[in-house]
Amino acid sequence: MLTYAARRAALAVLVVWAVSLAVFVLLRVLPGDPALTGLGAGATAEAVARARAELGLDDPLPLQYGRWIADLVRLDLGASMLDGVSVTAEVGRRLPVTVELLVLTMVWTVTLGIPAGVFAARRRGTPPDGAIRLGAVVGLAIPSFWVATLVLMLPQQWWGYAPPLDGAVGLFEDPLANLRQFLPPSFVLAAAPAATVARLTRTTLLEVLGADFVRTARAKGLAEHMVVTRHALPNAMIPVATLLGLQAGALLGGTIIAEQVFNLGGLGQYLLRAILQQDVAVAQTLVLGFAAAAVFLNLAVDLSYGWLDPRVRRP
Amino acid sequence: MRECPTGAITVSDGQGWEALVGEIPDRVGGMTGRRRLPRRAVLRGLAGGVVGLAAAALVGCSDAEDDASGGAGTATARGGGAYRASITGVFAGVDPHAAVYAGSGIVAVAYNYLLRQEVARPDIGRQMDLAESMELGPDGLTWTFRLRPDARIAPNDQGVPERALDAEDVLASFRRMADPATGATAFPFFSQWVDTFDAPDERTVRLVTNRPFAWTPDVLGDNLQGAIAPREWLERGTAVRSQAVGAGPFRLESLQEGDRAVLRPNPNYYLPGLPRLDEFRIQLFQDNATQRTAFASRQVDTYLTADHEEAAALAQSVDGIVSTRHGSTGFNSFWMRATADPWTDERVRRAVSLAMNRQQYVDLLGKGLGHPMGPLKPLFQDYALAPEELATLQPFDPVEAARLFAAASVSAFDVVHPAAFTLADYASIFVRQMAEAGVTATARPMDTAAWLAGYFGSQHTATLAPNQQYKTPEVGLRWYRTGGVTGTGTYAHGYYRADIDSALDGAASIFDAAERQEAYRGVQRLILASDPAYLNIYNLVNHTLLYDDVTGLSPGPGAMDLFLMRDVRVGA
Repeated sequence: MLTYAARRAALAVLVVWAVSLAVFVLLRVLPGDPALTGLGAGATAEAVARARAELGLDDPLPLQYGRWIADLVRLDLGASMLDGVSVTAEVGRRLPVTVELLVLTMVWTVTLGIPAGVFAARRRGTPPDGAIRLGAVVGLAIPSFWVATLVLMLPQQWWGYAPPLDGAVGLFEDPLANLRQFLPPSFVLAAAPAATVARLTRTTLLEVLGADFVRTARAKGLAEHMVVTRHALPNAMIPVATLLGLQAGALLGGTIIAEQVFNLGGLGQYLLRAILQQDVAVAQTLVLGFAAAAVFLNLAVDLSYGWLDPRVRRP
Repeated sequence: MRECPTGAITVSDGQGWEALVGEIPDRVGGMTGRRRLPRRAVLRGLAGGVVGLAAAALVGCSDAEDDASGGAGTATARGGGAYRASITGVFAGVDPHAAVYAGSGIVAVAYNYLLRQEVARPDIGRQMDLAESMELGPDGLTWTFRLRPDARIAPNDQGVPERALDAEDVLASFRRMADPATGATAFPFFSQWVDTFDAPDERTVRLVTNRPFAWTPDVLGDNLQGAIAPREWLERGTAVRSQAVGAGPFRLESLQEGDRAVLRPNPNYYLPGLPRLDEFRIQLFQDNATQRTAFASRQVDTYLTADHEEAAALAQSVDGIVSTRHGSTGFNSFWMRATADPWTDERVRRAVSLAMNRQQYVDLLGKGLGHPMGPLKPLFQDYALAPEELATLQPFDPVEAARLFAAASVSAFDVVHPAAFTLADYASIFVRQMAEAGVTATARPMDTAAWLAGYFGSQHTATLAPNQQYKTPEVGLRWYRTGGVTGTGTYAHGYYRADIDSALDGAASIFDAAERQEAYRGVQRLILASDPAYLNIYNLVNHTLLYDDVTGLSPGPGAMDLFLMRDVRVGA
């Protein structure tokens, strides 16, 4: 198991390094001038030149890359080119928002997706099964930015209700206001992954329910709910657990839209602003951070898969 | 030279300012003991815990929250209450001399100015601020400002002493504005017009222009250009971009980029009892639908609508809001690089102008509310050309346009525009109008940052461009002056004429308002007769919505801060 974990971890580090290189190069070859964007349209050529020099944008690319990586290693994330605010401080302020959004989204994904999948599998071929399958297709098909806008605007138009939109409130600061802020966007974000989970749960559970050991369990006279919950479902959950890990990585990108529409001020919103404003220092660090998070989530999935299913560890 | 009125601000009955101290909740929760989780338990837990979690989530979802007002609630209201402005965009820093995005709204109330005035808001008049008086010497060049003694720096945690601003602070600010490396918005003024400045004593500042320049009070009184900051603070380098320390009516309590800024009254402000507001909050939104929803649910107090139809719809569906129609500062233009074909040919530049039906932009994009635009925006009132004259000086004549295009052998051209701005409709109208004049214009949207860099460096051959707000006619007409709008050759289209330069300088040196207005109208006639390489197209009307318990605020272009520092109140 240790060899397996070490191999996977080494690969993850290699991927993160490759991503860092790609992000760095891509942000440099994009047309535009971050110094000008930061200073605004009224800047003089002298001011832009000075800003470029101060930001090190005129230095050779290998030197810029080396400096960035060295700063990262020292946990110095630099400062925004736009307003001079420390990236470390901003990340510290925004990280809890994104993490809470992701956690709640995963809660929705699990609480909606798995029961729906189990229910559909146990009633295979019935109208409820059809309804769940149809709902899953709808959940996958409708773009989340559109749903998010509707979820925000329609309750306001119909009932005069809107969640707090004036920046994220901390969970421990005001739990009720916090949940009012985070439940709608996390629900919207969960629609697609919950649909995927429901479909996979249904498929794998149906497969497991046809296996020999399930037939044996039934032959022993176990009640059907015991057969399903104690024997079939745990085995069906192995690929679902893998999928959930992968979904968590993919959801990092989805937070951008949810944070934007619900004005939550998390890392996704920060990243989008940095990209649009060519705030290179912020954008490259956040993209690398998002990529690293996705890579290490995948690593965690790989390792947990090996742990959950011993067959994977066998050479 | 007219006599300068002083001290026009009325001091109202104040209730005194006290810092509002919010409750800081204790963090709850803690670490639980470590426990080894067996694999089967995890899988069973995942499967079996689902129902419970679903129930819990549903309870959370169906929480009987019947607060129809939505919002996180107004801050504790005392005195003038809390006013919550809303803006889509970013602060992008609060540098007192270089902030141009939403951060400029903070600069305007956290710092002082020698005086305040807005050409586009004659209703406000001239408000003396840090300067008690302003005099122009008989040479027409020397401006002398006498400073008030009691403009004290607000309490701050940046180590800047709470002392009174003096002449050295003004000089330090002037020096920074005049430094090309600052990127100050006032740099063109200092580089082109200012000869020297000094301080005969600690309460007197002298600024000498190299030629008579009638716009001097407007530049120094412009919230985007003339902020006076404490000299110690200006020495802090990049810190001034992320914090504000001044002697203005408000002090910046917190600033979270992409989120919000909270300002509270400066207890040291020289006008006791002002500002009336207990809190001024600027809430940023990145999405227009979010901003609209926040306004409709009273989480912010103001909202700039897209057009009058949206304003009417909201006014109908939400109780207690007032819609104000006013001119806008934004406008759109067509820029041609006159040193590149086909724009070197004056016939082609004239043909484009003739092919443009400016009223159609107003009808389609502004739903009929707005103005075809000449070199100056209509907000400048008597400085701008009257609509009737403008219609004759820049007529719509697609037949003549087609003839000119054909004579110049031009059948197609490319035009770029920034994709991130809402310019797609604008571009499609432009393309269609050119097609009606027999020319294929291909609109190419560009990434905004890339477009801006190309525009800045005059690299585009032709571009549709959204414009900034220009506070004086002098700045707006710099587009036609050698050196371009920034005075440093950026955005230069390359078509300049000595007679226009001379006429612009002459107009700027006239102190009598009526004569100056006539001179500027004359310059515009000269510009339009010269087949310019920069064509303004249209300027739309804006609609600002406010809740009716917000009093003392007159929405309109610029100068909102002048109301905020005075009698704006929210609530009874």
